[in-house]
Amino acid sequence: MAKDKNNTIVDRAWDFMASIKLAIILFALISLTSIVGTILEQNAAPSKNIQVLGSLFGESLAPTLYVAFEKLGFMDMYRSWWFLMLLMLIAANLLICSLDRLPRTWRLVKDPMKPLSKEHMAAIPLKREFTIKGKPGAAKDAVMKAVKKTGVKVMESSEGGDIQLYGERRRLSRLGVYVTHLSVIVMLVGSVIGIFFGFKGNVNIPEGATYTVAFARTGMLTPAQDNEQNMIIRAVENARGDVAVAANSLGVEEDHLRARMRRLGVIPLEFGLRLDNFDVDFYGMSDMAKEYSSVLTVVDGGREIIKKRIEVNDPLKYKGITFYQSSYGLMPPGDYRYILRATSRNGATETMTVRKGETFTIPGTSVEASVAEFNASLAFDPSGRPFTYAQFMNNPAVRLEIKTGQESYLKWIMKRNSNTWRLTSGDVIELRDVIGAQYTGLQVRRDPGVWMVYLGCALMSLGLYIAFFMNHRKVWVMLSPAKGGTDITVAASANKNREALERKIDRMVSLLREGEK
Amino acid sequence: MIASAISVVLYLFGAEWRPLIYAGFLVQSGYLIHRGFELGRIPLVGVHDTLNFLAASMVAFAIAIQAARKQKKDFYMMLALLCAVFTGFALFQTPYATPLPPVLKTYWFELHVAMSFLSYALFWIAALLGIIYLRYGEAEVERLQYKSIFVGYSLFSLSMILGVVWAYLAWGTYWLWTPKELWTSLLWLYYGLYLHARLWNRWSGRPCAVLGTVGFGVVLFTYLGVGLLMKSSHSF
Repeated sequence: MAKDKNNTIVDRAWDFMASIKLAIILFALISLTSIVGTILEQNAAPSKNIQVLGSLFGESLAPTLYVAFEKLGFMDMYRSWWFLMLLMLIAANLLICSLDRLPRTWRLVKDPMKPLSKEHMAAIPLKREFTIKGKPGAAKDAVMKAVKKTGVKVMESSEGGDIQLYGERRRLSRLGVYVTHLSVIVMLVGSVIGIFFGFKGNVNIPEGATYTVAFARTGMLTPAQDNEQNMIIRAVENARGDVAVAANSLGVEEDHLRARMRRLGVIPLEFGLRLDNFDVDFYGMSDMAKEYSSVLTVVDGGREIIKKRIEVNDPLKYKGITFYQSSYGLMPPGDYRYILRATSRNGATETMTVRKGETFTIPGTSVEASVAEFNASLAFDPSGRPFTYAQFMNNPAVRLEIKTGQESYLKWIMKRNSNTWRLTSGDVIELRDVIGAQYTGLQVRRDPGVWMVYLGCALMSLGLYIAFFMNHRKVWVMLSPAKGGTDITVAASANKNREALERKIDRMVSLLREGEK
Repeated sequence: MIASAISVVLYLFGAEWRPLIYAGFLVQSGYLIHRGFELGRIPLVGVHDTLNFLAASMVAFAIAIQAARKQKKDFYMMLALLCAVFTGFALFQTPYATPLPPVLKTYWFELHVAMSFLSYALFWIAALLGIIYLRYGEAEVERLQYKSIFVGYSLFSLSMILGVVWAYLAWGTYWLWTPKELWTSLLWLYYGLYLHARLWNRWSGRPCAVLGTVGFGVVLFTYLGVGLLMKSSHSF
């Protein structure tokens, strides 16, 4: 770029920040550090990476190297100051090179196209010259029609006896590359907004429970902090999520309470979230989860606002906070409730919810039953002894004590195996669900910057499309009177895909010559 | 399995006689379509599927390029050998036949992987074209290399965008700094650099063609290296 010769330091720094050279240096630096960051597992236990280093450089060197890499931030590289700085420099490089080149492009875009002088036209590489019969004025219409075929909007000017027809198309496409560059900046700004004004947390809610807080990742808490955390959570729960009310009950300022909550990794939701039911669907009789889902209810100001069944890839959103289905697990033994459906051999049916030890009667019979035992993942060993084979509720089963008249016996009923539901008496007891045995693991997120990231994505698609698939095309045709007809000079330029333009121009020329014959 | 083995043999002999490449392509595509119907989803989970898909996509793009301009025999020889190696390697990988975990059961995922593998195939075709250009120096071939890369780059960008939307729906975060994401962004930067370098007089021509050819390795590492060596959000 033509710059003043008296380069100051600022000029040189600006040029360097706008250069492809810097882009290449940054790319190389990010790649090299990334290779290290890829080989060392991020946020892993030290022993793991010492082992990796040991296998690469020998056991004796590994601990020293580990300490060195750890000091340099390679064990949590993506959050290290220098990695973030490299990313910022890439963004700055992109921004400054755009700002450096934009004024020139803007001039091209802003100014309307002008007719060319003969000398300028001579300097254009893509050119065709030929002569046709008839005066310029007479030939003009045919030429105009041919020029229009190249897709440009035609204008006309005349000087002396010469007539010039010229036009352009997709002038604005020159801005496509800036749209693309801008999109990257927009995404980065969106992600920074997300980091500073959003949060990432999670919460495990047992079936039937209502939670008003979520939890962010913190370091280990001291016993005192642990106590304080519990006290705050209780106060917020009692206040149904209203932090101001909770602060009042604790006798502290609301701002103070919020600061303490941030410190202890407690995220106030400002409303209640209840898990009504959690379910896992398995593939056939396997233990592979096909889908798992939570029925959630938002309770705000004492009213139920939304009830939604969420599953993986389909979250619930309320007041800017989004809840994602992410995991699940089993609660310690407690107050479980069993939903059973009993159908007698003469067809009478009833669904009931019972606790362990509660006796119920199969409708229309005198058969009584009660739950004696529960197993979340029931299996039998070769000698027929029952055991629990998984730490999840993969095969929930209840052992019923059944009394028919004088007789009484025990029988396992599995939720997933209908063969176990039929009693010797011909009555059927089905285990429909167990409430309170599982918890759902939710990711809790607020990201006020995500719309900017999406906007950036849209801008990038648009920008790439314009930058790669559209071009700015200009065509000039000069008609000069000559002996026995008109001299025609065609000149054309495009900022991309010149071959295509050349083909178009040749077609136009042959069209004009055809018209002659 | 047998279909893959047949494709390998056809590709190998295709290095000598071009129509056999097309035959290998037909057998392989048939196999992929059959597998897709059998599984009721896009057959793009696991190395076995993706290698087959990559080989088939490369031939498909080569056919498109052949339509634009007749290519040298060397180009087809390299293509055939590459496809044979990929398909052969796929032969030794167990196909992923177990049902999908819930997080993969979405169209976002299917589109995301389909776009990224189509772009990988285009980047590799571009690498082959780069070698041909460096050997024979025909400007037309370099232009085809550029076009392959820019279409590939567009698809790759689209795949990243789809990944962003999907990750946000699945995990509530559009970006996780795991090796796969990192190398994906490096790959994106790398080809971004190529596209810029081509506009730069000092780099246009041979240096740029070298850049487009070396990209083969960056793609290979992003695709296989990261997956085989490291833990990431992309191991399911």
